[in-house]
Amino acid sequence: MATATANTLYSGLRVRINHKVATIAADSNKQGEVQVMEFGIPGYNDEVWDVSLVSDKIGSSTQHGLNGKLQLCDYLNVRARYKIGKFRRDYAAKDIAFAPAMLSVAGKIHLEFLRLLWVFADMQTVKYFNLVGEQEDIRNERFKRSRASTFSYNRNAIGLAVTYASAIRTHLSVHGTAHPTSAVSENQLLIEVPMSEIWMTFSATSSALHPES
Amino acid sequence: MSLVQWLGFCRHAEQNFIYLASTWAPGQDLANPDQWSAPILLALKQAHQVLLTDFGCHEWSISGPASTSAVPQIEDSSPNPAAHAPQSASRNVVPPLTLLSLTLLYSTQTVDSNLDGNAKVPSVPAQRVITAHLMRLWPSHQYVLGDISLTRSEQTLGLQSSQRFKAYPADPNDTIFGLHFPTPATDSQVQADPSLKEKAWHLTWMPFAFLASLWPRRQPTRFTAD
Repeated sequence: MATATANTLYSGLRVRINHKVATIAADSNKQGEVQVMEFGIPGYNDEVWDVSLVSDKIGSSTQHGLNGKLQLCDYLNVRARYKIGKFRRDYAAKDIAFAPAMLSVAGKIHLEFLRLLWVFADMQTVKYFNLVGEQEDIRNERFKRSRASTFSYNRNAIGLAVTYASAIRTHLSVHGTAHPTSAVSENQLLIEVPMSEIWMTFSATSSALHPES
Repeated sequence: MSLVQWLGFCRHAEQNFIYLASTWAPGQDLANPDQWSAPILLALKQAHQVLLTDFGCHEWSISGPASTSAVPQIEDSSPNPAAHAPQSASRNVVPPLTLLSLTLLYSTQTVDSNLDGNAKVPSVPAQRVITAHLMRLWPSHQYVLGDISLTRSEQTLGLQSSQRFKAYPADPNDTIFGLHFPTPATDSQVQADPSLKEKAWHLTWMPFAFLASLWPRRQPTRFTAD
């Protein structure tokens, strides 16, 4: 989550992160894990992601024949549709777009999250060209090459983060790995995420918020 | 077998790197296979026999014509391995090599230098020769495939393979980022201009692509150098 958030910050957007989401909140007061302010989607003010790390194996304590077997269906899409059906309409009522950000433990990615990474790469490259005063080059071949490089960097950062998160997931103690910012009284902070917090935050938050997945 | 016997010859060595016999097989006389009783050594004898009889292998024995010079001997008990640097093959000094493979290479060279011109010199065969030999023997072992389940391996491989998506979905309601990607051409447009089909955007994801970014010589930059 922090890795994707860092990419968002590089894009010049303001980000609100909820490290602790109240699961018992009323539907009218739902909180996403990452909220990007003024994302630029027509008809919406902000954009919210729901970060999930989905297991590629079936976990069933009652059906021992299925427990541990690999999921053969399009489980990422199934999970994403579940999330969309659960949250998108409520957020839309507040002019907030909702998108699931899904990855699997084995490293597979949901298409919508990959599109999001590409959009970030596009925004970051536009910002970079504006900063160096080469606005006239935006959308030309040189811009496209730079955007492809940035997209590759974003994908690699996410790939490394999910690999690390999956590796330590089985040994994660939720109570023993509370995020440092949890000591702050406010659960909802408008912060800039330093790169040093990337890996632990991603894994800790995903596991804490989605223990069933 | 020759390797084990060679290790048995080295049991009097005091250097740590060569004092292997008592560590690998305590209480066994490695130089005498007929007296081996340890299960792992008996398994080695059985595998050795199968290789000789069923697979047509020929053993290069260091106890052959050049055994006296090929088998390394300890000259003295000095703990400093550098003090035993081989001055010549005739001195029969254990080479100061900490790697066993290098030690064997040394003994191989020693044997080569002591064989006469008509003797067959042992050498490492080319990989194509090894592969061809294995494939000649493979038909009689194909039944093994019936005992191996490849389903799980194929499924795991599928998890680790790359994913390729159309950037713009078939149903525009499937994404909220549709405006960022060009709308693909319709079938009628593609029929009119086939090149439009190739221009459809695709996004690719490879789970292990990040490994390339971990290459230490790679510059930690997010942007191209130009």
